Amino acid sequence: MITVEKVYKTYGKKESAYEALRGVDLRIKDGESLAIIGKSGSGKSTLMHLLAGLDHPTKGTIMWDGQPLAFMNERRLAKLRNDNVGFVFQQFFLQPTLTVLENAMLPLKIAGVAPAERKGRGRDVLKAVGLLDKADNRATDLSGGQRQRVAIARALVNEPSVIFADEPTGNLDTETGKQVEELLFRLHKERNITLVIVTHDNELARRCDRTIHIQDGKVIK
Amino acid sequence: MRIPDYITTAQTNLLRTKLRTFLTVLAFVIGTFTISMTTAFSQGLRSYINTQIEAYGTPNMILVGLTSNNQQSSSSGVPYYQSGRVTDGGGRDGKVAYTMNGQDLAKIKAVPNVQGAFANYNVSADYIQYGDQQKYTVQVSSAYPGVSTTLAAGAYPSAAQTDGLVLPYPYVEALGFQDAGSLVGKTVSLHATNPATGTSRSYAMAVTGVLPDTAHVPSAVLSYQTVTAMAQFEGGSADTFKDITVVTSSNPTKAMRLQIKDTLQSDGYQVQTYDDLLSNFSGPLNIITYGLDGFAGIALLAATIGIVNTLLMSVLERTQEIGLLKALGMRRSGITFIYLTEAASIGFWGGILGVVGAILLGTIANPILTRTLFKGIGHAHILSYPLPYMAAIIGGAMIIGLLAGTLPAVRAGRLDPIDALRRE
Repeated sequence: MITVEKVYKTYGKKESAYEALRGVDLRIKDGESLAIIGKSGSGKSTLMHLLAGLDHPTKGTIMWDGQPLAFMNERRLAKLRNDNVGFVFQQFFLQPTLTVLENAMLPLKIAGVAPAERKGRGRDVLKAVGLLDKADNRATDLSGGQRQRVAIARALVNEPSVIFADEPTGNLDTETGKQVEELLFRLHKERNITLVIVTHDNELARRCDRTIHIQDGKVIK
Repeated sequence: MRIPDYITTAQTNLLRTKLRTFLTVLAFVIGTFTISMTTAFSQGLRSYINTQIEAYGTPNMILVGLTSNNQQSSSSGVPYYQSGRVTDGGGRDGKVAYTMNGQDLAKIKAVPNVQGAFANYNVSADYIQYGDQQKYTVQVSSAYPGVSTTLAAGAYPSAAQTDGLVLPYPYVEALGFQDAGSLVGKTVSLHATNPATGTSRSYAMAVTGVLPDTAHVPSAVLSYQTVTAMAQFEGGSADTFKDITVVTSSNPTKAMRLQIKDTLQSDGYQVQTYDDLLSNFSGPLNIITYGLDGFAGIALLAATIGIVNTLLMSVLERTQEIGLLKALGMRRSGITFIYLTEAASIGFWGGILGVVGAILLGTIANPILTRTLFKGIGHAHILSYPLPYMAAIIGGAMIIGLLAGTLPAVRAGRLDPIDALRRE
């Protein structure tokens, strides 16, 4: 469970200060799917970064299973992300020099998993997203939908408890967007992974168990 | 990440910008190649000089003469007569060279660590002849039991052998032999004349060895017993000689040489050790080496700037990737380590290519150099590549690379993942 209490985030200083989040309270239960919806600039991406420990709130507390992130050092935060978090980004962020399999295995490589085990688990997740036959292709040889599926495989490979998806279908056409969406929700259900989707797409948000709206740095109902 | 992963990741990253990596490595190659060449040259020169010096002395040989103390003039300027010493009658400056005698010999033999002391007599031979072939002039000097140098063939006469002879390399051809080895074991005759009486005699000498082919042709080396006999035949007194050669145990430490030198000097003798001989050459040689290495160092410094530049650029280009790696759980130190590995790799490849290039050039240039520019040095290589030195050059290049990579690496580690991942 992730708990957010009275979180504020301010960028810049004094006159140029910009309040991205202004007192957000939120609880994300294990295994639920949550859509964070809002216009661009509303602060929804900032909230996601704070939830994943990529940034620290200016004020307030974020806790993972009762453990405040503020009390964790850089090493523990990195390990938390490596062990428990999967990311899916709008722009996929695949490494062009690596093969599809190598991209999918990246979190395991960072974790220091032995090469043989890495390969086995990498192939497993590629199978789960239906791209095993592309394992040795360059990531750049794939279509947009296929790339996002590789990114999902990468998010799955470390068997995370939470997947953060930041506009996962934003760069895809309707057809492939639907396929990626299906895949995400199927994995969420099958593997009981908490799914946090940041989006401004109401269609996508409607499929989640719960939706929160963010406007001007605050949660509105 | 595991260490092998860091290494392969660094190589993959470097190969992403092949041309840029190649140029950065090339800058390093120029530096390491130059250092390898100057090292090869100074090492070759050093071993070449050592071979040359061996003709005059070895580490266990010490030359002892009389100091100016014993040559000083009286207050009137006219030198005193010194009992038991013969003089050369004095030069134009009024200074008189006294000879040494048996008392000096006995005194020097008593010094600790001195294994043997031998009087150096002035002897001369008229000619050397093999069978009844052509006669050749020859300069002769004495062998000292316990002293040996590297020979082209054979060995020095043993202490017990009274008629041994080691000939300089050119006599192989002069006496009609194909190679040094076939001259060893042959008997030649050495002819000497007493200048006072005009009588002459010849000595049958067994060739035991041949000196290496050096630029300067040294004297033939005779058994000490033959030299003594020749000196007396030529009219010299057994108790009158110019200087004394001291022989120590076969591998004296520098401290031991210095200790003998100090003892003899305090006894009033003038002493020249192997170290003194070497320092005459090593001083100028060191200046040349340092000078050349300095230029190579400047080339490496320029290469260092290249590394900083290359890596800073790639930090900029790979901002997004660094952000992703951090989001996926890589630590700041991990990112820094990837960049450091890349920097060390550039140094490593630059070092390998520079050293290998220098060795290849040396393999081609060595035979040409010994045939042309350094004619007469024999089979000595003027470019020599000792493995530890070459390994040190590669290691040094990696360390320089690491140092140069520190700034970009730390900067990459500090990048904020949020900035990197923010949607454009």
